[in-house]
Amino acid sequence: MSFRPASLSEALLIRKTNDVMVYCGGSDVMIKYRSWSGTPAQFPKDVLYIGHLKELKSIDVNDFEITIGATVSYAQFLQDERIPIEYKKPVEQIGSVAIRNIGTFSGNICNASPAGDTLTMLYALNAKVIVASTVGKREIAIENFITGPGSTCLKNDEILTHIIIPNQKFSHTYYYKVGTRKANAISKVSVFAVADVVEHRVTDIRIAVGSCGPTVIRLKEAEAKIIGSNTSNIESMIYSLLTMYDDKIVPIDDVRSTKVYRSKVALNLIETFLVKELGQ
Amino acid sequence: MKIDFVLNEEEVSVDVEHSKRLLDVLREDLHQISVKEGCGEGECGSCSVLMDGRLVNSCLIAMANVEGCHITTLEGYRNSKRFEAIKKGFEKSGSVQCGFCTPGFVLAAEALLSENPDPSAAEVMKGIEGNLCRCTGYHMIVAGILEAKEIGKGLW
Ligand SMILES: Cc1cc2nc3c(=O)[nH]c(=O)nc-3n(C[C@H](O)[C@H](O)[C@H](O)COP(=O)(O)OP(=O)(O)OC[C@H]3O[C@@H](n4cnc5c(N)ncnc54)[C@H](O)[C@@H]3O)c2cc1C
Ligand code: FES
Ligand code: FES
Repeated sequence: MSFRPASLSEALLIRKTNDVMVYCGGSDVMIKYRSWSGTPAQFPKDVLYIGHLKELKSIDVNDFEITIGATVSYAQFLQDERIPIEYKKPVEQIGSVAIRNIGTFSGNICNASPAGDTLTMLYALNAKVIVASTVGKREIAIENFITGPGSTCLKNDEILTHIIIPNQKFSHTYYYKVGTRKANAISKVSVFAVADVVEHRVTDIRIAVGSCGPTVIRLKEAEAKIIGSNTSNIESMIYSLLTMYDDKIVPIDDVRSTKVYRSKVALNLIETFLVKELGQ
Repeated sequence: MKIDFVLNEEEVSVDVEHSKRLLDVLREDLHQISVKEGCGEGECGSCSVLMDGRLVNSCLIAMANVEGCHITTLEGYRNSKRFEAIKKGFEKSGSVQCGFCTPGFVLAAEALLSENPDPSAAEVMKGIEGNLCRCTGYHMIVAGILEAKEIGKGLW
């Protein structure tokens, strides 16, 4: 069976009274549940289609926050001139033109892959998600929402409705994704980092590493060590900082890459950001 | 599930399983055989169609999502002046060899040119990033699209 509600409130009611799988853009679920060529996808449950819901298809930007509705596609996000270009970088490199026309942040977040390419940015920017049910809403920090590879704390009767990114300016932003080819490549390693440097002193820094553990990795202890430092001192701290990251980076061997390669690349990217980008 | 949508400017109605792929409905129920299945997983672009003017992979779209949408396949697009320009550009540049990937590349070119009528070679490459071709080596396809934008100046 399937449901194609006319509104969010109807969708929440369906979610409450039925055991359904949410289908947003479908770019993950159509692959996960694909069947033989020429046959329909075999979804494990009844399906609740929400991708068409207009009330979740807008982006709101004010001085404090960027709020992205659950059904906003990557293409819509990229076309929005109010979004800082630094935040578009990870999204521009996702999939291909056709994937970006259907894929969404909400699908990427709920899919909770450690290689999800919006996640490093969302972790670094302290993004939050809003989930709703018939009884109310919860606002949850992204790192608390995602609980492990492929798992979140979304309840069976809830739908993720919005993603909120604090609208803050940074003196430095950095993004690098390593994949096998330019388009349609799942990340082997990716790093999104931001920092604020005022008169050579680091006042804020956040580094998020993707595909190198069960979830995106952010090391608040290492960030705390850097905050307050003069940028010219970072090079002398780099060895101990990278050791901290090395301890926490626990990638796996899989078809896309090896542990050793992933750790090495991740540490190189972090070093590039700290020494080359901030040092300048 | 009954689904009403517009295919190449004509209203159509199909009664199919909600999770049936748009790709299969187009090929089997509506005889749009320009739409090809290559990988079946969103990576090759040979099943490309335009959905409300945007390039999508029809192997990744469940029919329930097509309700009320405008779908364009090459069967419809080929009647346009824009197609003539792309056809001439492709002919001139040798952009077609076996032809399996060609419908997808033509629609990717349309999606690109309708957003950016004067793309550079690098922008063309980005526009066709999701389409794979096993024959041409891509240079000839990029050249074909650059040729088409000149031939069809003013059409996009
Ligand atoms: C060829 C190809 C290339 C790709 N390239 C990349 C890439 O480069 N980087 C990358 O990160 N990903 C990539 N992906 C994966 C995918 O496109 C993204 O993860 C995308 O963001 C998923 O969004 P969606 O709306 O299509 O998700 P869907 O498939 O609709 O849903 C994904 C999951 O989230 C759940 N869900 C979705 N929305 C909600 C909601 N609002 N509330 C509750 N649950 C919800 C669904 O139940 C499902 O479990 C690629 C996929 C393909 C097929
Ligand atoms: S068959 Fe759809 S992208 Fe390859
Ligand atoms: S011409 Fe043969 S696959 Fe492109």
